[in-house]
Amino acid sequence: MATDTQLNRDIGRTLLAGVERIHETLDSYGLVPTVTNGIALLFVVWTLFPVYWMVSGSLRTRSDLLATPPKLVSTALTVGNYPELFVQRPAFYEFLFNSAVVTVGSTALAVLLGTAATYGFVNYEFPYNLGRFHLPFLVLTTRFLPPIVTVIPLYVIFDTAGLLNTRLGLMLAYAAFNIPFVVWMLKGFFAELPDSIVEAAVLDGHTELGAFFKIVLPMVRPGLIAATIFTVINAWNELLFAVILTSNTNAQTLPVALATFKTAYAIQWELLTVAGTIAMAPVLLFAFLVREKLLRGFTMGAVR
Amino acid sequence: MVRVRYDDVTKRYGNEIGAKDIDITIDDGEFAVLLGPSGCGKTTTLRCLAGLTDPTEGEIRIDGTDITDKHPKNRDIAMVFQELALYPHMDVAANIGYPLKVEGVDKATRRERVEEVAETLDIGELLDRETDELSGGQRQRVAIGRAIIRRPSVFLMDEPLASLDAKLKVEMRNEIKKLQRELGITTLYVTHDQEEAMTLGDTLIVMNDGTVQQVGTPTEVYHDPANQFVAGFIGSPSMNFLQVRREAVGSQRVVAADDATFSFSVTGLPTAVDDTEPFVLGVRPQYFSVHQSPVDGAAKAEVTVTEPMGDEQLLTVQLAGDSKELAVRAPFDVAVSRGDTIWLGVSADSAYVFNAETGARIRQTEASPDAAVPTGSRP
Amino acid sequence: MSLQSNTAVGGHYESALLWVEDHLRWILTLPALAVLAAFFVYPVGRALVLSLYQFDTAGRHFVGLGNYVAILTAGAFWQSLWITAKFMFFAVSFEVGLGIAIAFVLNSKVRFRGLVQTIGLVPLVISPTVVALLWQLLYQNGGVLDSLVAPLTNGPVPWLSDPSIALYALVLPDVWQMTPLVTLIVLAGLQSVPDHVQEAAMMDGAGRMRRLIDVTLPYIKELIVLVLILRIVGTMRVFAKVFVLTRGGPAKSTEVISMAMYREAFSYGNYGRASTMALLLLLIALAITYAFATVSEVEF
Repeated sequence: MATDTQLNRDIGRTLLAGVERIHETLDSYGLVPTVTNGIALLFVVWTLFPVYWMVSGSLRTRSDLLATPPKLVSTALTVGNYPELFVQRPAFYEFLFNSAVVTVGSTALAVLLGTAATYGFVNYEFPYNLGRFHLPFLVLTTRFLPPIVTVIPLYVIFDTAGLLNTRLGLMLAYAAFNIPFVVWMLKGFFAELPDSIVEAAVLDGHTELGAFFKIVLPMVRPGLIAATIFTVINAWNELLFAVILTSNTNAQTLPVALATFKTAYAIQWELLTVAGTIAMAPVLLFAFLVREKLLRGFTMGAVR
Repeated sequence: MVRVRYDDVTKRYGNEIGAKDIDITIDDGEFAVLLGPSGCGKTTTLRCLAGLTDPTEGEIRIDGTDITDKHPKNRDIAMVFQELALYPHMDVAANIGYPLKVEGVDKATRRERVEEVAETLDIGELLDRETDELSGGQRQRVAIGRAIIRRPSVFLMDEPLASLDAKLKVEMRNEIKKLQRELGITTLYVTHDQEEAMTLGDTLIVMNDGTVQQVGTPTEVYHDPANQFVAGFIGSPSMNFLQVRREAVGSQRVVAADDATFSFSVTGLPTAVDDTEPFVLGVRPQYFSVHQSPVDGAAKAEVTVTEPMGDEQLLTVQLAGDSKELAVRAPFDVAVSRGDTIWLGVSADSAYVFNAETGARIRQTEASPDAAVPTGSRP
Repeated sequence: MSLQSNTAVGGHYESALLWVEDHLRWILTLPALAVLAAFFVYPVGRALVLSLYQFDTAGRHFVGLGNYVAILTAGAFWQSLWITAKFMFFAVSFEVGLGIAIAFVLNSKVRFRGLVQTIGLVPLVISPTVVALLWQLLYQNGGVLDSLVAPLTNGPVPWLSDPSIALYALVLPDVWQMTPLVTLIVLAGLQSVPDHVQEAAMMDGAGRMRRLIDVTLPYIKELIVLVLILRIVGTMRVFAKVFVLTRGGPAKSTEVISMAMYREAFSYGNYGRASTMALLLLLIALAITYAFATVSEVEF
């Protein structure tokens, strides 16, 4: 163990020394900014190209999209694929609707229950140190649990409960999986609130529950927003639960539709790119609007 | 008429005592101060009245009505917290007016009252500021404003001045006192700062270890302490305590209780300590008489530190043959310096006698004919 | 309102109010706990029961620990664990290695750093299902990737249909999607290193590498542990990419544990065996969680 650590450290040092030598060499030619900007540009191209390829694909004809060698830029753009998708697969209206309903419903539920629970656990005493010691571990476990572990028995449970293939069932399942996440994101926010704020609100005429809604929630608003954003994205994107717990257009969501789009013959890429773009567009737009919060959210808890 | 009554209130946290057998009355319009070291139960006592802590036993009554089981919001009590607890997401006006908003008072009336209160507290021009733009003293005023705007029947303050610097503290102290007089609201104020307590309170309630040690006016607790704790806690520098006994039954000389290393005469000690059992003699620093040459009945001591303080000086001295250090106040013109030998005289009427085991005060039972021997440097 | 009239009229209201306040901690937490119990605890209990049964065309019958014996002795379960581990190893190594490297590059003077960071968010918010499709399009026979590697190969590469390549073809989309996560977290850590600390170290005569080891590294060490944990857990549960791109094939070469369980339950209808695998995976997940919770200093 100790020698392993030592070895790792040695490897690390050698690597760093190598990096430093390269850096010095580049520096002596004044090339450092060129190289770093070059790498950054490469990163941007690498990150954006697949997205560009799909979005642009949705605006091309099939032969243009699948031409060999690929045409990086097309001159013959068309929007015809978009209506065509809904003509050929009218169920996409329903998929979209199901995705929206399940996302909104599960987010509301997860944020409401998660927030209340976090506040309760952080601010009140519980038997057996439930709030201080066991809860973090519970949350950690449920956060780290591979969802496949619960979804198989859940299928059997849903089957008997009549929740299979319902939006409600999927909504509840997503809420359950997102509650630990909400708790994880909000814990720090509640821990930072001084006790006296709630007490002051109570003496100012609130009930404790009223103080929670009127005083505490506005104070942790940044956390609530971050938790909401992430829950929305999680729910909109989820596949495993949806593919197992739903089987027809009653409740199937966009990811399920996308994952099972292939026909027996060939993939209708010109339509699949449209479907993929439609699935991406809302989250990308949403992410762009809240990019600052999202950046902070991804690095939250990480940097303090 | 708002009269607050604690009836044998006890608060336990598991096996730990927070406050025990609190039995006090605060009269209408009175400014009562709960004073004691940290952990003495004063905040617990205050919080029981606010309803933020539930007493384990006992009742609290306001004007004869039992409020022990009432929700805090229905007690008509306002409180200023040590951390002030201003709502960070509201501006100054919203903070001050918040209790009225919760009560459902309409916006115009609210604004009017907020301006009125802000005027009283001299923060009229700050109403549109955010709370994080305020100085410590201004935040203080906002917190007080929020507490008084409802005209509560009882006003509670939990170490509200703790975070202010010394100068501001004095300023706010005066202001709080003036405000309380003007409003005439029954007030309970918690502090560990005896100077603050003495200047503010009509009545001091001195607490230690969860129990009330003494209730009295500032003058009473200072000049007539009920026990050794109160005597030692009130006054700065603290009262000196010496473990002593009479040299012989009926003797005027007292000696160190353990090995008779020092001795001096104190005439007129209480008859309760006539035998040679040890007792505690308490003397405030300014009640020693300081002599630079041997005086009959005075104890020999060596000066270890001198601190000039203008009109007087504070000496730290060590009684000959004893390791205990005493604080002594002497007039500035007593020319002593470190290492000098002085002689300290003690007079019974400016000394206090306590039971060595319980710390209870042992009072003079009969007037002593020859009590006034050396009067020391008593101002 | 005076206190007396309050008690006279509001006695019931008052006691209801106090009851709510006294039980508030449970009112706040029980709904969430109930949901967690229903969706985590109960399913695990149900899986325990299911794992004792064999499901086949004749219905279900009790087999005791038969499923456990069958799974632990047959190679398939271990095989899928091994495939998951391989996927995890390659994906996590590249994501963390590349992610840290890019974070360091972006932390030096780079133009439009804010914009680059924002672009890093793009893969992170896209559904893994869509990510799989993005790459399936790139993997098309004679498509973008084929023409990119054309100088090195003769003819199109069977990215997803060659058992020896397919797993790596699954690693690539995961690396594409999750590397920015590592970059963003580490970059945030690097930017939290106060300039004055760097300057103090410089005044103390520390060279670039010394500063990196003594000043920068301590600031980001915890973060690196955190992203390692996040990615290990993340790759352990990989499903969507496999489901879309290969369904575990070809020749089961990409049958990661989630996929194997899915197939057991929903292709063969053997919920008993699938539940058994779920419980075994749960044990592994618990062990990993516990190890990280105790070993790492990262607070969760």
